[in-house]
Amino acid sequence: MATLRFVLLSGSAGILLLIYVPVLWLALLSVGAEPLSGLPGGFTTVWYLALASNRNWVQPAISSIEIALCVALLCMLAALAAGRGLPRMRRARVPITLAFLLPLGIPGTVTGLMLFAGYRFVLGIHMGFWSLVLSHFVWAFPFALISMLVVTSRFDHGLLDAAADLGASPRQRFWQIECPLLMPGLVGAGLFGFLLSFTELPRSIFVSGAIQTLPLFNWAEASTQSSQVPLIFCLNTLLTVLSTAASVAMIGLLGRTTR
Amino acid sequence: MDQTTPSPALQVERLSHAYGQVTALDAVELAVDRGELLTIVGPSGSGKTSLLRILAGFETPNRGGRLRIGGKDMLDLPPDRRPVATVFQHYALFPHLSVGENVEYGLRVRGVSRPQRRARAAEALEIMRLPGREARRIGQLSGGERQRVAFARALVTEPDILLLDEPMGALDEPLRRALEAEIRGLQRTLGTTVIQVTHGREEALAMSDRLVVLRAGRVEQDATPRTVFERPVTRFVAGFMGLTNQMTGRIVSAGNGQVSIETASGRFDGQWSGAAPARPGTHGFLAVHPEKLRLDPDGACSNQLEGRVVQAFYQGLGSRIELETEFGVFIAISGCNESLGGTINRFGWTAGDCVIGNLDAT
Repeated sequence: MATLRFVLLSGSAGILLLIYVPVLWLALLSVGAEPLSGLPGGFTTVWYLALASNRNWVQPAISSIEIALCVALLCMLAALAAGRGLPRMRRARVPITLAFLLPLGIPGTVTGLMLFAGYRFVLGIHMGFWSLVLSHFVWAFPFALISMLVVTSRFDHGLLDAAADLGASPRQRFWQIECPLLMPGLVGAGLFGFLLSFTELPRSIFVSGAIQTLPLFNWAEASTQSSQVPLIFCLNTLLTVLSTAASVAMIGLLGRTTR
Repeated sequence: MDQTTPSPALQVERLSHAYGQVTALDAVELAVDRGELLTIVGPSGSGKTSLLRILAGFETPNRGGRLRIGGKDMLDLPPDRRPVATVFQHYALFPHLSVGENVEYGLRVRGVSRPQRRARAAEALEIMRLPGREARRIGQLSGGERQRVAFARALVTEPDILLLDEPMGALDEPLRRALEAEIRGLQRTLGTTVIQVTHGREEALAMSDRLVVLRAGRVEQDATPRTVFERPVTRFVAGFMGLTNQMTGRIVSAGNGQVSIETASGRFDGQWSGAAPARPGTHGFLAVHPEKLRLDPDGACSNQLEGRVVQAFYQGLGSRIELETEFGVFIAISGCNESLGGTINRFGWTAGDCVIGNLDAT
C-alpha cells in the first residue's frame, strides 16, 4: 500500500517536472546573459527591452488573436449545436459522434496539406485569414465537442419541461435554463478553440498564405540562426504567463458558475 | 352552455394516444370538478403518465379526443400557455438557481416585478413551512425539502389545476405519511383542483376524493376510494386494490346485492360488485382481501375452505400465511404468530367481506 502510494506520488511528480521544468528553464534563459548557451546565469533584462523595441512580432500576435477569437466563437456555436443535437439522436448518435472526433487521429501536417488542396482547388478559398480560421476550427472542434458533450449528455431535459410548465416560452427556456446549465461546456469549447488556434503550427504552415501567425513567426525566427532568437525566449515566456493566467481565470470563473 | 354553473375544472373526452403500435390511452373519459383531488392509479404501462403529460401539454394525443380546462380547449396550446402546474416525480428543480429563484420562476417569466415576486415566493415558502430559505442552493436541501420547494414553485403561479406526478415516489415511508396529510390539508385550504398520478395504493386511498383506475389505456373504474376498494367492478381492480385471493365460477343466484357463485371448490356467497346487475349463469369472479380471511372460522363465516400452510412470514402485528388448497394458493393475514408450518387448517370469510363481480372479457 505504501509502495503504491510512493509510485503514484513520484510518477505524478515526474510528470509535473517534465511539464514545468522546460517552462521555468526558458523563463530563466530569457533573463540570462547568455541564453544561446542553454544555461541560465547573469541576470539581465536586455532581451526584454530589445523585444519591446522590436515590432516584428506585433502584427503576427494581432493576427493570431483575431484568428483565435474567430475560432473560439465558431467552436462555441458549432459545439453548442452539435452537442445539443447529438444526445437526442438514437441510431445516428454514435456514428456521427465518431465522424466528428475522427480528425483527432490524423497528423497535423497531413490535415494541413489536405485542407490546402481541398480549400484551394475544390472550394476555391484563397489562402489567408479565413483558411487559417477554418483549418484551426477543424482541428479544435473535436475538443470543443467533447467539452460540450460532457455537459449536454447529462443534461436533464425534464428541466425544460418544468420551465415550460411554469410558463416559460421556448426562448426563455433556452436563455434562462439551458444556456446557464450548459455554460461550463460552452466556456470549455471556447477555451479549447482559442488556445488550440493560438498555438497551432502544422496546419498553418500549409494554409497561411500571406498571413503570419505568432507560432509561424516563432518557428521562422527560431529556425533561422539570427541574433533574434533570445527575443523568442522572452516572447514565449510572456505568452506562457499570459495564457496560464487566462486559463486559471477561466477555470475559476467556470468553478463559480457551476457551483 | 349553462351560464350559471361554472364549467368543470377538467373535461377529457375520448382521448386516445399511441406510441407507434402501442396504445397508451384508449378513448379515456374523465371529468374533474373544481377543488377536487383526483388520483389516477394503475400499473406501469397503464397510460397514467401519458395522460398527465397530455394534460400538461408535453404530448399531443395522436389518436384524437378533446381536452378542456375550465371549459376552454387546450389541445392546441403549448405547455407554457396552459393554466396547469406540475410537481414532477424527481421535482426538476433548477440546480443553477437558488430556492427563492426557483419558486419565483413562474412569476419571472410572466413579467411580475421583482419586489412583488419576492413577496409571493416568500409567502409560498411560508405555506410550505420553509420560511426564509430563499438563499439556499437546491443541492443543500433534503428530499422532503425539495418536494416542498417543488410544491411552492408550482403553487405560486396559482394554477387552475395542480398536477402531481408520483409526488411521493422519491421519499421514504415515514415522510410520505406526513406529507400525504399535509398535501391534503393544503389542497383543502387553498381549494386547488389536484390531479395526481401514483402507483401507491395507500396514498391513493388516503388522499383522494375520487379514484380512477387505468388499465392498458382504459378507465377501468372511476369512483370514490371507498367504492373502488369495497366494490371493485372488475377482477383487475380487485387485484390492484389488494383483494388478491380470487376464484372464478358461474353466478348462480342474484338478488338485492347478495349473490352466490358456484366455483370448482363449491358455492360461495358475497356482495355484488359488478357495474351492471348480476345475471345468473354468467361467468364471475370472487375476491377477498388477505386481511379478511380468518383461520379457524366460526359459524359467521359462510364461506369456508381447507388448506395446508406452506409458508408463514412474521410481520410484527400478525403473520402472512400462505395456504395451499387444491384450487390455488390463498394468502391470509393472521393475528396469530404461532408457527403453523405444514398443518392443515380450515379458513373462511364472511359474505360481507367477499366481493363477487362479472368476469371481464379479457
